[in-house]
Amino acid sequence: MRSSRLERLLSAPLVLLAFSFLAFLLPELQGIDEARATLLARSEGAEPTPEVLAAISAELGLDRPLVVRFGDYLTDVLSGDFGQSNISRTDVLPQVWRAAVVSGAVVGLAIGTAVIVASILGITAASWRDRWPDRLITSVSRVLVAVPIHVLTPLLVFVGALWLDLVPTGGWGDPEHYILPVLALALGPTALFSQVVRSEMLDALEQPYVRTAMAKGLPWRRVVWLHAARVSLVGVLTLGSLFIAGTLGGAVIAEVILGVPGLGRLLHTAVITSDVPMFQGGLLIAITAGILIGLLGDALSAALSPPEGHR
Amino acid sequence: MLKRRSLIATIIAAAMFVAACGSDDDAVADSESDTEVSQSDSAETEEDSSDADTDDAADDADASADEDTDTDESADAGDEGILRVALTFAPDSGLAIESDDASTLVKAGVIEGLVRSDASGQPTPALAESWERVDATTWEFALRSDVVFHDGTAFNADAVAIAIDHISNVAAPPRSLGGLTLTTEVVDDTTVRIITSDPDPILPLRVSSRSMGILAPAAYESEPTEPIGTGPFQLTGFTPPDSLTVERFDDYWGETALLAGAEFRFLPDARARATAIRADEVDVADGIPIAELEAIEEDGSIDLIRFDLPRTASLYSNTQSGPMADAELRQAVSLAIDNDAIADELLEGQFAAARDYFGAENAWAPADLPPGDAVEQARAIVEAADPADRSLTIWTYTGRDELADIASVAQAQLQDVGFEVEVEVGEYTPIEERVFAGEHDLFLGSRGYYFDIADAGALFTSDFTCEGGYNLNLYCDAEFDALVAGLADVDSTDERQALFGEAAAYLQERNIGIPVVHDRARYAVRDDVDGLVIDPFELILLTPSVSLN
Repeated sequence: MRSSRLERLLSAPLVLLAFSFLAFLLPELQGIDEARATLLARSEGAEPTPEVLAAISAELGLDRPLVVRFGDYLTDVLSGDFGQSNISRTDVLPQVWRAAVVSGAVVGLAIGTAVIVASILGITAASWRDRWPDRLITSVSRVLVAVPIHVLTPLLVFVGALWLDLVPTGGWGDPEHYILPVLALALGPTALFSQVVRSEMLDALEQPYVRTAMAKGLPWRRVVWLHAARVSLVGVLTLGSLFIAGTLGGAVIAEVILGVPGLGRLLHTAVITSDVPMFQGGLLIAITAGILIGLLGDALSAALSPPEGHR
Repeated sequence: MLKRRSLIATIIAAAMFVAACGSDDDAVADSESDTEVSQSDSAETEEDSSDADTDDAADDADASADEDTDTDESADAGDEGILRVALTFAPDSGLAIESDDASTLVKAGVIEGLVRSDASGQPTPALAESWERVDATTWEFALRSDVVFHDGTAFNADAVAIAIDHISNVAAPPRSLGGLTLTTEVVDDTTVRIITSDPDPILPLRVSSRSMGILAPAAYESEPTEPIGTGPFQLTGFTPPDSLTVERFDDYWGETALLAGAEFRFLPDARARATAIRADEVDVADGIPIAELEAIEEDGSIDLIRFDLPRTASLYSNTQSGPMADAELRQAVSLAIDNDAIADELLEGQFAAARDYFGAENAWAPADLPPGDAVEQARAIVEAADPADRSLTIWTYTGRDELADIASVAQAQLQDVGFEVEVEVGEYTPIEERVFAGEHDLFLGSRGYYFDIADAGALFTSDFTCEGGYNLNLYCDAEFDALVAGLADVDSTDERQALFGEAAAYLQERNIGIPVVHDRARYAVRDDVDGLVIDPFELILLTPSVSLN
């Protein structure tokens, strides 16, 4: 486990380098002229005359060979300079950082909520196996797992904001603005995790050490929470850490619909406008966060796993 | 054990019930306050909801503004008010004056130019009190002497010179300049001359465009420029891509604003803007999607303002090569496309059928309807054509929802008269590149026909002349070029409009592109907003007269 973690840590710079280069090639791969896309984003109807496009290419340094541009970019990134947005001509790093903090908070809260709620639901379902709480939790979970986020988010807006008038429809700035994006991102993972916890829990309850503990006359609650739940939570915590990176994908949709100024919306805008420096900056931060969270999840899962002897 | 679990479940259920009750109370309080407002204005709401054009909306808004000045109470209420606005497009160019972001700054009442255009698009005084043409290339502007910038510095001829020199030398100068280069000459503190690279009869109109706003000299020391203007509101916060806030500028040279300020939220998702106004989270929202119109119309506390925009979705045709180089086949396409059906049925009347590139609100635009049995005529032309020329491809792009739908219906209508048609939808930029390279048959695109100013000269030059930079039809005709060149000597509005009509009819007769529909603006405004005037060019929004009841 430790060597695998080390391998992942050592390969991180290579992954970052590869994705960074792919981001650099993005307009090329899409057949998009970066200077034209920049002009279009800055001033929609302006005439794309050769003179204007040449001036923009010179301003953005696009008139240099791709390899030279990429080399310069890497040198700058290593010294902490992520460059300037092609469109807004302002520094990328503060904007990406601000967006990453927003997304980090939303995704972290969503996955945290999902892990806690799913653990309670999963343990409850396993404890009441084949009785109505189990059937109810399992049925609702199956429905929620199947609902895609682009359907779920508008549905939550309709119910939570328009019908019940409990939360704002979107926007950012107040604590209440967290509710809808966190719910939109948490419901799917909660449903999935609860089924994982339930299944792990049922397995754990069949383990000899759990049976032994029960046979010793330990109270049921103590057996469940100290022995069985601990084992089943390892799986969901590892899954949760993996989901944090994956949830960023869903965050793009939720952030655009709900007007959350996070990393998902930043990347979405950067792709639409072919703003390569912004896209690269956002991608580097997202991938770095994904790698670190994955490692953290491994460490957490290792720390929570019961020692072999204990089993 | 079961008892304990039941106890926990009961406690949780009780807690949830209490929380839900608390929330319900708030909701009730909110809805009650909404009801009071909507009741007090219900008469106006019903009246307004039947209005469908800008003039009516403007008249209502003016009437509301007059009421405000007569009533101290509503003026006091406005004094404390913060107008909440949801807009589709977030400024993404760092609020640079030469970019499209300038339109947000104008809407927010932050920047002003020497001249502003009135509701009919004609130049009226703003920071300049008057102007005159000294010679063919020189215009002299007499400036107001009582203006200060938001940073406290004085507005004068030097500041204007810095602003004009900057805008004329950026990499992509504003399209309203129509390729002209401007230089300046300071005569005295309140007099400045602007010299154009070529004779220009409409310079005052050009300097009324949003990118010609005058900023304080300090604004040009950074790149992008800082939005330090002279408007009735000054910028207090900008959190891209989320929001922008402004507050009243008490040293404004004109009437002091009634509102304390405004908050602009940028919501790219159309449904989000519609739900935000329905939930009373914003007072004004633009770009209401067609699917949400019914729900908004049923809401008694929201007025809808709709008007035709100077924007046209057209099938740009390749006049240089392929089937569309044949004028007869272009005519067949034009006859086969049923613009009325597309506007009224496909787009549910939220777009206006186009007769030519210019909307019906332009009195000079030709309005000939297609003759008699258009489909039969089209079918006869196609049947007589070489079979190799009956195969067409329509290209269009993502980003404007209506285009792919229009392309599908156009495909069916063209197939009905004998064409074989394929539709390809992709990203705009690569398609545009291929269009300029002459690889298209038909390109369905949406394009504004006024570049910030109500003068079609720039569009004719850029889109339809041999040297035009946006010539999507690849049209080149010396006779038409000479017609457009004649505009350079005409300064009278009437004469210019007569020439525009002639040029538009010339293009229509030859089917240089097939205009399909004109876009319509769809604003939703809560009825507690007074004094709001949205002009047909969507330039202004926040003015000193806007208030909240």
